[in-house]
Amino acid sequence: MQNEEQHYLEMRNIVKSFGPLIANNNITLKVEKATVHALIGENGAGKSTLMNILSGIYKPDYGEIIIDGKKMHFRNSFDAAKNGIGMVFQEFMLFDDLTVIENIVYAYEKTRYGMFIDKKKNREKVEQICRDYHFNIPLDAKVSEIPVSLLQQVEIVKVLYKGAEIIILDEPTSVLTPQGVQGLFKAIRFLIKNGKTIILITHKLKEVFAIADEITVLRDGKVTGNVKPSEITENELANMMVGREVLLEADKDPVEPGEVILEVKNLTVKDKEGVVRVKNVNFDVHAGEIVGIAGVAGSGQQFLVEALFGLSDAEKGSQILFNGKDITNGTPRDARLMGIGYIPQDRLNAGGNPQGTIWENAIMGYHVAHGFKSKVFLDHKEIDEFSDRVVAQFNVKTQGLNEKLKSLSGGNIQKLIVGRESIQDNKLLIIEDPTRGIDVGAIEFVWEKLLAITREGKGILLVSHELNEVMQLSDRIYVIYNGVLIEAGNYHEKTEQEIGLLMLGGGEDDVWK
Amino acid sequence: MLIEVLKTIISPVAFAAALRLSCPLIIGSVGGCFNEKISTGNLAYECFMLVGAFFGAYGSFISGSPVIGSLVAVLSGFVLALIYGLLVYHLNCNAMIVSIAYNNAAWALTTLLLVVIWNTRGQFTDPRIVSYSTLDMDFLKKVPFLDTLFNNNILLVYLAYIYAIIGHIIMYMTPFGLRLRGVGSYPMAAQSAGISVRKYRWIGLIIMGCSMGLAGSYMPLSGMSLFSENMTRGRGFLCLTSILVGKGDPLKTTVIALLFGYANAMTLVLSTFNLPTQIVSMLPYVAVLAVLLMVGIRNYKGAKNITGDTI
Amino acid sequence: MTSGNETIAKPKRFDLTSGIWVEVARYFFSFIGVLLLGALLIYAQGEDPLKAAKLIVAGAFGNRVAIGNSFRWATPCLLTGAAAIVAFKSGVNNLGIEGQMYLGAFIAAVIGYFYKLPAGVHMIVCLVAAGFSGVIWMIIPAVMRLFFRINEYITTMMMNFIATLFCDFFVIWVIIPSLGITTTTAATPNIMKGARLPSLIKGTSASWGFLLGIFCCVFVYILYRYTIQGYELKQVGENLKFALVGGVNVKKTFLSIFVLSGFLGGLAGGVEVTGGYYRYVSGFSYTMGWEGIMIANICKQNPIALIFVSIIWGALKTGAMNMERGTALNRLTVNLLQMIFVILVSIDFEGIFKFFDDRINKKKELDKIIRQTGAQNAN
Repeated sequence: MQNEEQHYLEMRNIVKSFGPLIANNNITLKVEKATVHALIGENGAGKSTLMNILSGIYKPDYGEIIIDGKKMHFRNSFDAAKNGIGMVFQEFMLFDDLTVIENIVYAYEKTRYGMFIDKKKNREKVEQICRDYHFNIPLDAKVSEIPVSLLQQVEIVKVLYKGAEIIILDEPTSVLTPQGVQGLFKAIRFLIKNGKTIILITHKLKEVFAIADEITVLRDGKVTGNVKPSEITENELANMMVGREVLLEADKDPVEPGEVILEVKNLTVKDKEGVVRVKNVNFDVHAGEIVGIAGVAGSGQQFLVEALFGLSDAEKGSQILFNGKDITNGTPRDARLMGIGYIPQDRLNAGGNPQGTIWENAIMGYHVAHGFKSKVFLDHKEIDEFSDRVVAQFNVKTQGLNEKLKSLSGGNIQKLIVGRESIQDNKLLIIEDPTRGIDVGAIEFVWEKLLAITREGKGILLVSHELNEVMQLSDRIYVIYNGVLIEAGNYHEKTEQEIGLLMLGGGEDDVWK
Repeated sequence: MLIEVLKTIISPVAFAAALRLSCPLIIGSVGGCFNEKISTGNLAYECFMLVGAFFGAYGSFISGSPVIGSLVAVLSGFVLALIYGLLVYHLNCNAMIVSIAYNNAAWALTTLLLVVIWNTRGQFTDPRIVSYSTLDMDFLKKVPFLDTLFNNNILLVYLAYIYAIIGHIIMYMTPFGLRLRGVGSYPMAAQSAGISVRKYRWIGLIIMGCSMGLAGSYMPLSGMSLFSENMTRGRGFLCLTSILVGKGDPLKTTVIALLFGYANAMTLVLSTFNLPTQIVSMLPYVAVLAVLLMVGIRNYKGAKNITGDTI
Repeated sequence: MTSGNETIAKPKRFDLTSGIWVEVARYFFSFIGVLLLGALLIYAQGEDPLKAAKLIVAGAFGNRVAIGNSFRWATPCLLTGAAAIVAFKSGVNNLGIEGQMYLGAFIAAVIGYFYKLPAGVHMIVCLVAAGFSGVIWMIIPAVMRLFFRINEYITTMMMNFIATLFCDFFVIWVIIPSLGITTTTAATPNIMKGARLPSLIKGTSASWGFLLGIFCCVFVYILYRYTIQGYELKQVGENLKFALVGGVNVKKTFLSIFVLSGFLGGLAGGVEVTGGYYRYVSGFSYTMGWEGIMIANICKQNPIALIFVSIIWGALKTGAMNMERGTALNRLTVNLLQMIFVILVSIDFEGIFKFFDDRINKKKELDKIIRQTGAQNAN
């Protein structure tokens, strides 16, 4: 070591922008060898961008990377991998059709006679790694046949096989069960003991305190803290992450909730792998109120919403009542016909059809549930009238109803979708992230409209990753964490910090097991 | 009568015919497996084969050597693949349109060449189109069953089976094969491992083009010494079907191709019995559909699963 | 990263990356390309390209018979094209139109010959039966796709083989022996007069099938443009998840795509028999089904454009025959040129222009970012 200041890995003054958006604004990250360095922050804080720069996928606009005293210039991810950086992506980069061992050695095969894959040598090396780090994975099974928790281990073995010294784990626990998390942590400890360096990207505080040696907090593309877990409390850490100034305030009046519209009892949802994503959830929505569900991404909110709208199946014993009628395991069509509107998070895939025109997008759902006079023909006069109403009332900036949806900006698409769902005579609206990725003006506009809808006596279930949004709009707030719904008080009853802590798995210890 | 028929069906002659008739299917589809594994929606197999058949005949005609004929056929497949790749990979043409245009153009192209070069329509028979001579292995002469089966075949027939094995080795035992399979399975992941997806797509396409060209050259050079309009008669589509059903695995594909070849042989050997050969020809397709259906039923994932991938 | 950086691009005057200009450029370049290649091809065969072109035009539109023949050969393109449009517009890869045609033709020929019905009714029964036989042929891939997720890509193609063999079997082993005649061609006897489509232009081979074809195209157009069912079909094809969330009964809609496409495919075969050959001939279609798929895709799945392209297609076919009679040229020259045209038209000009456009823009953008960050670090 040259001097005390020199860390094993240093990223200095990293700047990276995408168009007008500055994802990383002068970030400096210093990591010691053989430690777990947690990189935490909300969605969109710039963690992934920073790590993509480290692993050679993006080139920084400015700044430098120094490993072990040497300045690095990664031309691509291949180059970064050669220099000992391995990244385990949140979305696994694995080939479904190939076996586990083929996935591990892919593009780094050892050969015999210069042309054949030396299966024996490969296997020896992979088995050696598995032994050294206590991984137990079926090497000859196809990737499509093994559970997600093992896939993660495959990814880790893959980066070890490529000779990684610094391993980046991007939200590794979001797909794991609690047992899987324990297994992962055990593996991480072994890796550290063997001199590997781990950078752990996460937004779950419990995990940070359980495993990290040092923490760097990012918020809005900047570093807001660099601390050791022993020197800080969960509360303080949560503050660093979410405690931003409130830019927007909704103009909300207290409401008198009407009768119950939606009643959910013991809702449990499993994903395709059979992992429980929503556990025994109970709540209700009254007419005229907004019920907000906050939670970090991957906490199960998507499965909850899908089950409510009939896109996923609920487990036995679950009950969803709408206006007293059982709608458990219905279809989206049933839900529409009963008067439930849905604004999905993925506005270009589920919410809209980018290739379709404005009017085609505007009448979807309406034509099913409320419909036009004719059941056979499209009455273009009626359609134009309805679409114009959506466009005018929701201030969608468009060059005409025959314009393609994809030529609109994100904010306008969102306004169109919100408009479509709220102008229909629905009794309940299920809304996911209504303001994701749109500018401040559009956010204010959408909020105002949502509040106006409730004044008409409709109920809204608002599911959002933006805590501020949930706090500003909701009459009652819930937090979803690991599939469990936790009550978080009424409007303005708890502070942002308190709820933020709940979202990150702090506070109630029984939740985190 | 029934016993006679059954005897014919399992006679060495029938198997020998199946071995011969499936030869072009195997050569073509083993090469096509490399194209299927990179999944680009190429349907133009018929074109590559028919053009290969023409140039096989032409090469043999001008040089007097069937080997040169086959080489010219391979070259023609290579050139077609180059144009195809340029159109689909670089000029972003719709692969389906180009494939169908290729298939339809092949018929026109070969017939035109037939007119331009040999000034004839329909069929051109000439002893100057030299066929492969058959190989005889003396040591097999004494073994009755194997004699009919393995003797008196042309070089390409033996080559086809060697080719299938080589194809399997390349696909499953070399780094190249592994990377190629990865590129088709999940291009993003291959890219993240530093593999050039486009390069592998090109290689897969060229292997397919050359193999289909070689497969095409079997037809004029297998003893008849002639080229006729639309000589391949859907054999290219048979190759494609074998590949799709065999999911691009060279050995599985070979088995399917053999099945088609056997059904084809049945229509020949049963023709003396005055039996409906169409039904016999139909059986492999029905069998394959039934197998697909069984796999589908086994993988049935519930009524709500509609947006997922298909097999 | 987040998608918050979307901006509306300002429209440019001659924007070759989208809109009408790219279409003009596309057809202009393709046409020039085909003219050059065609001249070369004809010249290579030792003929005068101009003379050949004249003969093609005369053969296609020169007189009443020529026009009639053009219409006759446009008919199968119209129907198979409509079948393809329905399928491909809604995201179903129906490669089985060829097979549906054969089956439809066979059923029409059987009903047309063996059953005696009143004149007009007989024809209609033949056509409807042909359509439904296409539907039945398509139901198998549909069920396999919808319930067991087996790609219709493979199944429809296999069904093609089965269809041709199935029809040939019946013709050769059932129908011909039952008549007690010996024949060298595998074909059914001619259908009854009452089952035939009336002639459209007297003395030519154009039948009402042409009108039926146009009707089907217009029907498909109206279906997609003016009906709720068509609206749902289009949305399911373009974005299945969107339609599902919007409350469309996706399974039913998906099935109706298969059914409609199959019906039109079968009808195409029926019209070939009742309005063209008057009998089922083994292997009559050559590649009509495939051509339908191709034409449907080059006219960007627009049924009205399909009508024009089909007429041009038919005209080229009859013109080519005339050229063959008048010169030493082979009519397949024209066929080859058609295919070259198809390929040229399908080139992604938009993407090519965009590629160059982006390269220029990217450089500008990069300069901007470098300037910005430079300023930032100076602060």
